[in-house]
Amino acid sequence: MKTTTKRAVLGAAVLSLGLSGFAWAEPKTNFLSQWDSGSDGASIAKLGEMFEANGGKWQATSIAGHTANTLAKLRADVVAGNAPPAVQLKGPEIAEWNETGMTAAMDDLAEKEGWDDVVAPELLPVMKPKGSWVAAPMNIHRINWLWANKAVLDAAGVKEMPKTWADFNAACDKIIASGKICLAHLSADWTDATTFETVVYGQDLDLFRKAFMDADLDALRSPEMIKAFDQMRLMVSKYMDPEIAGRDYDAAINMMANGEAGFFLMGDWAIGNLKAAGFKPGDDILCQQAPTDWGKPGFILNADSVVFFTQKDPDYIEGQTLLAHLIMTKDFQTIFNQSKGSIPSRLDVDLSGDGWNPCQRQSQADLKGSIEADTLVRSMAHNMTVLQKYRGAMMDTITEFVNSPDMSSEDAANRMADAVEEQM
Amino acid sequence: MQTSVSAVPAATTAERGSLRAWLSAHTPQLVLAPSLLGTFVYVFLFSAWTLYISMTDSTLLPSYNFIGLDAYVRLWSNHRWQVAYTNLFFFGTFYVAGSMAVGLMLAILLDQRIRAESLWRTIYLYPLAVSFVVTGTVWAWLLHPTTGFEDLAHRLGWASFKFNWIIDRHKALYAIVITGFWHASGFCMVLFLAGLRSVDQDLIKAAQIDGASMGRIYRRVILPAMRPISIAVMVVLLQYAIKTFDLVLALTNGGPGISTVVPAIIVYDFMFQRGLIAQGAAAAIMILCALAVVLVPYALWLTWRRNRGAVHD
Repeated sequence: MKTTTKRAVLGAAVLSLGLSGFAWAEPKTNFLSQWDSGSDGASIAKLGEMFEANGGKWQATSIAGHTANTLAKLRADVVAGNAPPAVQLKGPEIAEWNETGMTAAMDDLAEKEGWDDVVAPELLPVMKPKGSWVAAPMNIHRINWLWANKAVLDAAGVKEMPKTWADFNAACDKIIASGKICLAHLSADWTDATTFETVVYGQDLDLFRKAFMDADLDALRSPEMIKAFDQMRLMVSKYMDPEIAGRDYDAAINMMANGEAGFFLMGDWAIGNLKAAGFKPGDDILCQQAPTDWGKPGFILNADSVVFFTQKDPDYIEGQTLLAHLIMTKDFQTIFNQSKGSIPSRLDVDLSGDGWNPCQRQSQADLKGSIEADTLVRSMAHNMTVLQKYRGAMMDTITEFVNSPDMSSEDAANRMADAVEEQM
Repeated sequence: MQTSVSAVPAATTAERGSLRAWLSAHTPQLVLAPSLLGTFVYVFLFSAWTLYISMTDSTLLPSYNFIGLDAYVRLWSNHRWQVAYTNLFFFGTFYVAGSMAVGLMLAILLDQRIRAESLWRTIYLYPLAVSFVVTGTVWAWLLHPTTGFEDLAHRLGWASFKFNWIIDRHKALYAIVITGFWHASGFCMVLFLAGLRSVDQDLIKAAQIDGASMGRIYRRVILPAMRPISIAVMVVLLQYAIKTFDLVLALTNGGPGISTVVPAIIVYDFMFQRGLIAQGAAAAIMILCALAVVLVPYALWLTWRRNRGAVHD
């Protein structure tokens, strides 16, 4: 009698524990990213707040420094069998990790919410490398912005922002004649590559697509590429100041914002820096698409996205669905992008509200214009097109070219093609 | 006759006794065994694993398909790697030789029985306590013409002063070497000072009686007696030089362009950033070869000297 009662009580206890285990399955996640501080860290904190408000348990692992450190942690975790539920990944890396078979598909959620209809078409092959949704895009950054200091332009007699590269060169000559530096710049592999890909895109859209998106060797060696290097050499030797090597990013932006230099070629994350320093993008700092020789709206895009890895714990699986859903809501896209300076990856978010500045509205308008004109491309310098091994080879040559006054354009084009070929 | 006091049979006592005796005779080996095993695994086994991986087709994640020396061929045809490997030899030579020279000079000066010697020792040794990243960042500001020495000289009125090595791609490596001197010469100084103080006083007195000047005494008596310390310092500095990574990253980030990259940066880049693990492993093995090029002849020379000395005895 005693034993049966004991067994019954134990059995009931175990059963209730098991049942309560199911009842308490709450979505949780551990988001691995490189955004640990400043406006980036604040933006991710907002995502955490939304996640908790929707009943989830939020945890974020932020690895400071270069993206490479985050990738190293991801690789270590995956090899140890402990893949993170959500990781910040972008570009060809999504496809590479998809090949390993460890990524989780979000197709059900995507179909239910209609992601295919609202996300920019150029992003779809990146988020769906094999046809199923493995990544959720958080934002769209624009690379090909030209920033200008209005006061410097007025003083030099430049009436309007240059539309083509010939206009740009003429404006620069005027600014130099008025005693200022024309183009603020800092020489690092990514900044040299950003400026160069803007030049290539502006001069020849086909060349950009063939050379930087397909890594076509003939395009890399072509006379058009040599012409692009010529323009780059003109800019480095005449329009930039000699101390570009080793300069800080902040020092370069401030050069333009404070009126020592007229122009600055950088993506839209500069908005965050300018706002923090008290400038008004759109007012005293002008923004316009970087010069193009073919006269239509152009857009080089860079998108941050979140990739989900398959998990065994049902809490994490629920958390992934919740996180993916939240990332694609208009609310999150608005809050996140307002603080980060980019524009939403959903094309149907309205930017006419207060939190957006005129440059962001221009960015969205140009994105839509560029999609219609079929001039939308992804950025090589910011790791959205070719594999890292090719991108690294290209960036090495470009930055060496910028810093070697005696390297000819033909030399540079051939070396870039050779370096890419070695990795094939 | 009394054999043993305990009631245990004599055979077991003898066994136990021999086990205890064996244990006590081999205590040092047993205590060291775990560390030795750890060192063996970490140094030899993992180096062998790296060597194997460098001959496979690993890209994003390690794979074990052997394909031969393809990674080495690709590595050596990479222009950035060629620059890095040349930089390693230049940087290593100047860094080791320069730090030892500066350290020796400081040690000789400190050896002159000056006042507040321990204060000076602390000041010169302090840079070693600063991490490479902080050293690199601060010296980057100091050496850049717009924020450092050149700017200071210009503001003081010396308008034609030029010190822009760090943005000149031919001279940036020497700027890094100077920073390396600043960091490591304190360490050399301390060891050399100990060496100087440990030279037998009788030798020096004998030389003084023979009428040698102080300079001559230093050159002919004291410095040769310090050879073992010099070798120790050289080996430690070499391993600092070979694994230089954060100093270069913080100072110039491999720039201007790619003129100051070092092999450690390339290994990290290939392995973690570019998903080329096989080539990264090949680069690591080449760094090991660079070290071997220096240390293997030295080990052979030491053995040859020892054998020659034994013969003469």
